[in-house]
Amino acid sequence: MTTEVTQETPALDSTQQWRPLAASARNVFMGVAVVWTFVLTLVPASIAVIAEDDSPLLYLLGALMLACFTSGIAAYIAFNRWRNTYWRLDDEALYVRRGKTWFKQICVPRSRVQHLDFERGPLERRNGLATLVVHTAGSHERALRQSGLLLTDAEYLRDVLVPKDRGSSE
Amino acid sequence: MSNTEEIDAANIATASEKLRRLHPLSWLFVLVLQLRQFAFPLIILLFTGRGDRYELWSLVGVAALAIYSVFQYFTYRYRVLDDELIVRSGVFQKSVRHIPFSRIQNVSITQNVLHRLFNVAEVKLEAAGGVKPEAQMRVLSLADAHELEELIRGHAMVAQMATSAVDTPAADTEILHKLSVIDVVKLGLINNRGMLVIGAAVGFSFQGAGDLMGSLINKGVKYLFGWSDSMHLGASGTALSVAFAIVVFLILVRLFSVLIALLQYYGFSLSQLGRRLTVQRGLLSRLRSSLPLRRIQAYGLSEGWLHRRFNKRSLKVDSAAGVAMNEENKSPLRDLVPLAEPKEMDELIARFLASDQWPIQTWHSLHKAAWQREFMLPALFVSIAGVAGAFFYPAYAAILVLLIIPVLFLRAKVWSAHAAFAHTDHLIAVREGWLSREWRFAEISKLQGLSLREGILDRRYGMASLYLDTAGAQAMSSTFRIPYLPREQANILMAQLSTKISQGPLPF
Repeated sequence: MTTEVTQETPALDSTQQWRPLAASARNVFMGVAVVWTFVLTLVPASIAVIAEDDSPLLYLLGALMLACFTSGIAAYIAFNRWRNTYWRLDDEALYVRRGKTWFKQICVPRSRVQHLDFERGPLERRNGLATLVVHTAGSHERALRQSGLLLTDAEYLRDVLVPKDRGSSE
Repeated sequence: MSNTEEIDAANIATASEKLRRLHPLSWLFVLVLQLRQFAFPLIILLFTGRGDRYELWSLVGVAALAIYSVFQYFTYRYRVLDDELIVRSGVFQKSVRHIPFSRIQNVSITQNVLHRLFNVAEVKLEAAGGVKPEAQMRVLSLADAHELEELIRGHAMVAQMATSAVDTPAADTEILHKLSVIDVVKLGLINNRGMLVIGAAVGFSFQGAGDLMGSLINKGVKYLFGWSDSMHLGASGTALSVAFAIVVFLILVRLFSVLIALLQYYGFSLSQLGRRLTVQRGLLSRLRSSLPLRRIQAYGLSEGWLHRRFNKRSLKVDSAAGVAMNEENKSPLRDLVPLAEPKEMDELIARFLASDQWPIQTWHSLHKAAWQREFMLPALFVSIAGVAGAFFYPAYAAILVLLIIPVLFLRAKVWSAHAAFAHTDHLIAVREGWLSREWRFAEISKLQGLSLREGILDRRYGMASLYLDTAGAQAMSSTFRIPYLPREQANILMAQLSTKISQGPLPF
């Protein structure tokens, strides 16, 4: 596994360029957003319609259209979230930048990483993706969670960011 | 823990390292503590006269607790070894806990009135990185408590001297700061804690005893109106009396705050032993707690309007977990220097930082349009509220709302005149505020993460804010950020800080 990683990501350290999320993450992001939004709109709307007695059929159609509309918006947001997220690793820190309208660039210095979580849901496993959670001792932003990373990238980051034994002073 | 370990420990133990128990009366204090949680609902039940059956049940509960407390006393034992403390406890589920002295960051000793009556104290041993105390001894005789404290502190000193030759700790405790009674009164007037207490009490009574509070308020309002009716005051007279009532209320709250401050801060003293600070305070319940200087994560210096009248400032610190939390889940060392004159405060801070970088000489201003950014958003909200209000109310109401806008303008201007940031070799600092001013700063090596944020409005002005994350920051306190920097400068600052953080060691 590790040999694979080093073969696939040799340029990472040297170039230090901003890297996008995995291409397959786009469909996962959008799919998840659409399904959830569709269900979460349609179910309450249908219940509201059925609770009323008269002409539920036409109203149900309305609820369906509403659900399509909201999930369309969700898909658009998810697509933008995917497109506008980049990450970069250099000698000092891991950087993640997100968003365009509300831009945010997070910097986690490598020496401040406490521990890492590596998460893979069923959808991520199927698409060769992984979620990496980088924990620090901070308070407001104690965990940087980034989903939609290519498995090899996530594994590389995990291996590189794992805190070395710093010779605790305690 | 395994049996062999226990036997080993027993072999090592010398005669002085005997098995110790808590104070013989400790069951009483455990009981009192647990009863306190029952007391308030019980009182409310008694007053509202509801649920006789529940009272009976609670009596059964009290009896069970009493028995449990006694058992707890009989099972809790501790042993002091050369370099560790062994605590055995548990009624059914036995546990043996080994606590190496080197892990203990803080020993806090609390004495409330009841404790003082019996000459005992509650001792908490705090380890690094834990919210819950490593061991909580409820209660020890005062002599035992002090002995334990000395022992652990002495050990910490020895360990420190062994590890860092550069550090030359002073031989004895040095008192850095004290508050006189007058200072404590001023502190009460300034911090206005009474308002918080009253707010919490009102909130609770609405939740817990709606009927009781409701009827009280009803009666109060009726009485007031009846009184004003009988006086035949008319509209302006009523308004005047209401205003008068409010003023009286506010004065009473301040007086109440002074009382709270006296209870909490009477006899405040801050002392330093080696690289460790110790705070001692309290009128009825005495509290003593200590904190290694290196565990301070960030500083917050504040100067309100009343502070300026008294020529004082207040210093709060964030410390990483491991400092004794009291009942309100707040570190007693958070208000490290509750009140001091600016000059004295600067000297204290320089001492805590162990550098000459405080007070900071050169402050850098924010983006030129920072005042516009600070003014724009609230002004927009007020305008919208004003316009919306004009539809529902008589138009003059909306105009009254719009009168806030000049105040907001003034606020933004004063704010931007004061707002600035500083970046020295070891420190990152930001100052803000208008009526009350605030300085936030931290050693760069204590920063845990950075983030740069830019909203729609920010983009228009070409600015970004840099958020600084430190350990132990209180959820309630304002975030540590350098607002409204020119975009390019924010990027550069972020890169510089990142480099500095990476070069420094992890600060624990």
